Amino acid sequence: MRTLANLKTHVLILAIAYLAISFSVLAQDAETNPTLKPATELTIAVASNFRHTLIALLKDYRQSPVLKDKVISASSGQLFSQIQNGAPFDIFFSADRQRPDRLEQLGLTDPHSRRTYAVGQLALWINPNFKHQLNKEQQALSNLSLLKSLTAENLPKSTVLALANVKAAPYGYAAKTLLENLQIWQLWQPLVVQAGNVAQVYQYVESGNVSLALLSLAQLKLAQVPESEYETVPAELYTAIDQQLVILQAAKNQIAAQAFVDYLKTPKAHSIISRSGYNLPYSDSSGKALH
Amino acid sequence: MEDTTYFLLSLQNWQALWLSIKLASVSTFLLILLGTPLAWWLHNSKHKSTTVIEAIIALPLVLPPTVMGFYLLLAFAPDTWLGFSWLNLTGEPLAFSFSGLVLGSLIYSLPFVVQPLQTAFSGIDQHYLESASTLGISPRARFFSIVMPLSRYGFLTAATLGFAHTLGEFGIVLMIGGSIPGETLVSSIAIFQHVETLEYTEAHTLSAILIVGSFSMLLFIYGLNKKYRYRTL
Amino acid sequence: MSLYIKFNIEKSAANSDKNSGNKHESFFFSGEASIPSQGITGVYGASGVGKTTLLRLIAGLDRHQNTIVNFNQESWQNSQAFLPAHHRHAALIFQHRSLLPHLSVNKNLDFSAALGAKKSPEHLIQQLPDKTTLCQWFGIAELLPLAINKLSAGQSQRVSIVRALLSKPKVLLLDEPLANLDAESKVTILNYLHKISLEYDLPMLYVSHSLDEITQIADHLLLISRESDSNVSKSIIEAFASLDDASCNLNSAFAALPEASAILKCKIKQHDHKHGLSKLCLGETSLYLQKMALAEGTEIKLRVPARDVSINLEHTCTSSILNILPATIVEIKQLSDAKVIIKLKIGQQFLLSTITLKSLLALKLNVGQAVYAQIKSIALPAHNFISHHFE
Repeated sequence: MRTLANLKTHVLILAIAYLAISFSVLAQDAETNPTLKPATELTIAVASNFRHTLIALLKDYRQSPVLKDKVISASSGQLFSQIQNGAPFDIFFSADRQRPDRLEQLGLTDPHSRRTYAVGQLALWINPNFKHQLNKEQQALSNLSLLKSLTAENLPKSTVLALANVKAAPYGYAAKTLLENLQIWQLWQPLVVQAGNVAQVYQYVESGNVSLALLSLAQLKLAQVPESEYETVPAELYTAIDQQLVILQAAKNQIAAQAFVDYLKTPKAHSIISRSGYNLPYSDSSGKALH
Repeated sequence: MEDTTYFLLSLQNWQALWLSIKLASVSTFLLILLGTPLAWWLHNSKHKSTTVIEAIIALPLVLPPTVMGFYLLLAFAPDTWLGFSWLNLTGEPLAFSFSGLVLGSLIYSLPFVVQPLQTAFSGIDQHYLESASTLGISPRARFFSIVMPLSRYGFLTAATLGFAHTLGEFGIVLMIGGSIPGETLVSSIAIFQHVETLEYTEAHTLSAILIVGSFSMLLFIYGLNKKYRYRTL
Repeated sequence: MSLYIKFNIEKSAANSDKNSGNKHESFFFSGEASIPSQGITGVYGASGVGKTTLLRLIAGLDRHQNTIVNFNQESWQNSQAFLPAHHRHAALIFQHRSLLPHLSVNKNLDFSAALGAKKSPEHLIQQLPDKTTLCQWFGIAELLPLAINKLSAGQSQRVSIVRALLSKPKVLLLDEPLANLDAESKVTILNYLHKISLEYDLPMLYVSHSLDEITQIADHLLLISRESDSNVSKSIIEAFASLDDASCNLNSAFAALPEASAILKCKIKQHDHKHGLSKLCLGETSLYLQKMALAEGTEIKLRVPARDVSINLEHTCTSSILNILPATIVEIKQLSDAKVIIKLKIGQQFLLSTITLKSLLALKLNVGQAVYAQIKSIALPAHNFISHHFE
């Protein structure tokens, strides 16, 4: 059922993308003289997990269902390599703070543009089939309490916990810190399967191959997973997933880029971001409050 | 990295490399075992349905590996007949296991084994087989004593392509593997993860070893092929 | 009666035999025949007429509907059952090379002997000669260690025949086995095939489009002839107990062929070294031929094409033609608007002569009339003879 819904969404996105491309081709013919109307379209590189939210933000910002902006999404690591090799992006929405920081050090960004635009939230999803294998008392527990209640003795056979890659993916790293803070990393490490990124963790969830998964709340919300299946993990239990952005040195239109980044500080943008399953940043990289 | 380096690579990388070779070897062995009768049947059957089956076998050439990986992941789930029967049979789930990777590789590399074999089989002059059958030689004996030796070049090509293709497999493993060291973390995934985490030195070293190893293997087999081909002519 | 076949084949042009080379829309081939277990049955017909189709049908390589193939008491094919080729032991020798290229000559022979023959060793009443003898007969003993690609066309064919014999076949099917060979190889092989057919109960079907080969080797004849119009080719099969039956029956399809011939059995009486001739005796009369390498007293078969025989009313000494034999007209048959074929009796044997209708009327020829048959040429080159032993 969910797959079908996803498929529909994908078809819809494809159709929209196709329309957008056709329109942009048609529009180019109309705008013969660029000096009359400066191009404000942006080329944005975004970490996969934030893609849908970014598109929602852009639509609101442009007040239009059809976007001329180009949105390129991949893992933060891949986008980082592309930027390092001269990819022509205006803004980079990373899923972590390390890579924007590194780019800043390399002098590839507009100085002082680095800021946290959203804080990722970790959620614990538990497979209903897995729950059925447990005793009544455990089933009554909340997801997180249930995780804590599992020990080497009462763990069902072939239990699998899915995480994003603990080294490459911020959500993976955060999940690892959660398990370490709860002092159950030793128990769970052999049962962990690692997905390349947090989007793939969701594929593991969707396919029903894993018993438990630690992934982004945004992913679960986007896929409309029933809320009974997951629980948001309190932020103090794991290393914060600060998602940072930078305006790039190579940006063709710094003013337009800056304008969009400024829009992200508005209450309207904040509501879109938080509805998508992210916490709002209380401060940017320089420590100044955004509100 | 906290891992100690042994001969250029960390233990985990050596493990990944060994796993790749193990996966490719096991898959190639099974592919030849399965692909030979399949190719022979396709070669001989005049039925119309074979065209459909040939097209199905060739699908992995067209489909993005990640798409196939995703569907395999769905098929491996314990609530599907495949995942369920595997779990019942072996007690282990299929997803995120070495067996799962082998199964994925079998599907993914099947056209690379079946097609060279089919080509080799159709290159055999029918007169050899027909004449042998009138001499009282059974179909089985004809296959083992005539078809196999005469298509040994095809078998070598099929095995090489199957091995090489499985060694370089990435998309499917990424989807169904789960990066478990020693179980599903093969070298292609390891290289990808090194690049992702900006560990370029490790990525370069592992890639270089893979390139040199694969190149030597292909060089050896192509050299052998050439020798064989000239001998039969 | 050892091998019985009855069939009715219809093939569309798309999958027609590539050897046939016909451009017809469809191809029909039907017939019924019994092939005796003793001796060699020649299968004669123009190319594309279905000779190979017939052999493949008997061997079990092709499966056609409405076909019956019986061998002695065994049913090889009927409406319900089809015995696969490897259970029939009807060894087929192709015109093309069919020896296994990855094995040596010796291994090819052993392969056949080991895998083929052991299947049903009881079916042969008497043993065929062993490997060593066969290799000697066919002159391949020194070829044994060689690779197949080192053999000439003639050597390959000889090895193929020995290989087939070593598989202990019930029937030997030869599809133009000598087509690519030199004259000398042909004689050797024909001689040994003849010898094997005389000494062993091994029926052979020998397909050829060479009437000379058929004349020399065949005891019986299957004639395949074709009636064709613009887009349908229809072949029919006719069986003759002997070559004489075929050549002496003016109503048979054989007499209607342009190459219709009589077969004469003669004995070499003496060699005339002075004139470079051999004198042959044919009952009471004599024939002169270019000197042959065979010993005096040897019995041979001669093929005399009907179109090379003309008729004179009286013996003339003014002709350069050497062989003028007294004969009696036995039968006259009109072949077309212009041509007639005449059957002539010479002693106990028969000659055929094709002449124009105009000549027939001019000479006022009638059945029972005594005439002289003038033989312009005798078809065979001297070295192609096989020695026969007539009763």
